[in-house]
Amino acid sequence: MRGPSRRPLVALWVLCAALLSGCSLGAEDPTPLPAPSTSAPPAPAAPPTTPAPCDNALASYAPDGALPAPDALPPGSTMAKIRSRGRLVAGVSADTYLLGSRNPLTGAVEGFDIDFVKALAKAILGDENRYQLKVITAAQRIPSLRNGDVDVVARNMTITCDRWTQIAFSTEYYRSGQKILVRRGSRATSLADLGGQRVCAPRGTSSMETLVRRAPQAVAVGADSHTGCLVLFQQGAVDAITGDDTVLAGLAAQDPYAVVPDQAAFTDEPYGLGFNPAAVDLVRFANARLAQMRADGEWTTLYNRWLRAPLGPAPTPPRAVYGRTR
Amino acid sequence: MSQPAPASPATLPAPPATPGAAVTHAADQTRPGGSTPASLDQVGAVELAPSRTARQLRWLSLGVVATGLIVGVVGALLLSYLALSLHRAEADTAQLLRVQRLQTDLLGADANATNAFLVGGQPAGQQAAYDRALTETGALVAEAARAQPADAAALAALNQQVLAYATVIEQARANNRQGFPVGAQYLRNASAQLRAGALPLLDNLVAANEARAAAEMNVLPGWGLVAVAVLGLAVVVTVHVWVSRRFRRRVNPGLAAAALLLLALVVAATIALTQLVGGVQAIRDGAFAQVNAGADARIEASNAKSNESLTLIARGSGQAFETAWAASATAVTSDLEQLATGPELQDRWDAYAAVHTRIRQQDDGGGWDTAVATATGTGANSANSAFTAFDTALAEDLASAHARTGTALAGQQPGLVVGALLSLLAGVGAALLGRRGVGARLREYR
Repeated sequence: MRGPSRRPLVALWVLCAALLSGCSLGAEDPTPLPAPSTSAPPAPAAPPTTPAPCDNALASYAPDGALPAPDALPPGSTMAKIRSRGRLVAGVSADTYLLGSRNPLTGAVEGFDIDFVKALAKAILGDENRYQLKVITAAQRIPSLRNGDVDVVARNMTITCDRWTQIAFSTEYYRSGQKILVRRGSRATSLADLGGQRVCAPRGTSSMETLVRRAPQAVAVGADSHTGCLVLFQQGAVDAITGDDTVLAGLAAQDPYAVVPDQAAFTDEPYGLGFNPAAVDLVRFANARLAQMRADGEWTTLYNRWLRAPLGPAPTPPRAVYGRTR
Repeated sequence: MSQPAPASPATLPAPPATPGAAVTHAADQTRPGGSTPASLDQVGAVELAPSRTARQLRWLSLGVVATGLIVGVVGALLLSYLALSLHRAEADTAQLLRVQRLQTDLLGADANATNAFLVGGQPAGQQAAYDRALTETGALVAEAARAQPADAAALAALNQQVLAYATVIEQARANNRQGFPVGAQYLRNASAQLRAGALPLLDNLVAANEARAAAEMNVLPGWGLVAVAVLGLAVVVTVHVWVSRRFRRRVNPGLAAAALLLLALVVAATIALTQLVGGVQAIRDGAFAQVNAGADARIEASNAKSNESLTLIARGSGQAFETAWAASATAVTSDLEQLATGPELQDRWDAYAAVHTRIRQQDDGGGWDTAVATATGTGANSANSAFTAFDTALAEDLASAHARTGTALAGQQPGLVVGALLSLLAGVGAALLGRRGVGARLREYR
């Protein structure tokens, strides 16, 4: 052979081109996708703790005589401090329809619970609108009271002996009971009928504790709130929701496919306003206000405004029980 | 190289035109009776082994030609590659801007959706802004997928996330419209899903395109040309030394000219590449860094604005969102320092941050409604107007930094194309000159 034929030249071209394109002229590395979020299955509630025993959880502090006028509050009292601050700070729910929820049309948080905040604000400050709401989850109720973020919690909170060890309660202002909400067409009428089904309740609530204790064969699914449970229900992630009849009535009112079947409540849920355990004077003051509301028909007015349509005519207001001493 | 092919066409000056396979034979036969070189007395070595020397010369000629061609071709390829690479860096920067705009749009849409919820009712203005942002998002996703196929999978996943987000927002809106508080829960879920699902994808897209653009702005491969040219020069010089020793002539004009040409190529390429390195580095540290800083500032700013609304929606339990706001604000300030466009932008950001501080004071002081009015209003002292003033100015700066990056990158490319042509010419020239130089000695065998 003589001299370079064309072939080696072509080969050279190809080699160089291949080498260079090998560097980075070829296809780019595809943009990586984030690792799929290994979303852990909804954490089941902590096993129920043994409830602290006490003789009568409903017993609260008796009022100190008649309710003082807003401009005659005892000096140095918790009420006087709230008055000098200029507003009552309350921890509430903004998504529990009928009890405490934000009205999307007006932006205002309103409901049965909120009206008790207003009643207390009026008694302390003389103006039912001098209050500030802090929207909290069920699990934040006790911490926010203990660290002083709020003066009062009005968020469908059940009075229990266990909670009395951490916070103080007013007298009972409503008697609710735990029930179940199911999909239209379901035959279940009690927790016992929900074996193997996914049942939702908010984390850190007595509803969740009761669910885990009474229906260990059901799959407990936690959410931040009952409204969170309703979203899971509407998305088909849970089959049922358990909670207080007031709350469930609010949920069923938002979804035509959700029903609260006729059933006997399987727990008693006495609602109380929550306070910091040190603010005994404020608890006594609130109890005096509640006594006033029971007596003058204001309680019934509030019930009728919010709960009569879904739950029927007003019962007699829960009886106040006193007798707690420090 | 050893092709016992039938007499290959005379691509080389091969004086005793004998096929390679038969060289020895033919040479042996022709030597005695063959033409004895006239300068026999001078060229003793040739007389001793003329056929061997001729063969060596032919191989040397081949080697010199190959060397020249390799230098020319490799040089042209390398410089074309550099030009292409800078062109792609330009495209990567445009893509970077696109995905950053996607991120800003989505965060803005979310801020508008949450703001609309804050105001109550369904304010038309915020609704329109939300719709606009989502429409642009759809167009941008399609455009970005066309521009960079490597992003297609991530963009497809992003598209799914945006669709899911928009669906949940619609559910929130429908429930809101009926006065159901579950709408607020859908809104929170949508916001959380956007942050957990879509934003990580966008972070990946930003990171990948930043890395691509930075990788393409790499001049290092260009030094391969200098290396190859130096090697070529070494080969030609070695051949020249061999030839001048064998033929006892000091200078072989052809080979010397080839060597000089290659030397010139080495010198010119070194100078040009040094300049190119400086130029590209200036782009990376200048306009390109500003594009990154500006885009990041914009993302962080819209994130902050969105968190401002979420803090208000949480109504007293929004400390986590306020902490996120503060983190974003710090990032914006440090990005603006990097952007180095003068104090005007920072002033505008500070103006918005001052409104934000006022909102926090109002909210923490119990004036939630006043705070919401400040946050969602459109008046002179509202967070919206202060934020828009900042965002518009930043968007302009960002666009100009992007344009400067593109222009600067494009400015380097013509030089590289000319360089590629010149090195090809230099290589071919060296090959021809070298062949001529060796050929002059070979001719002495005719």
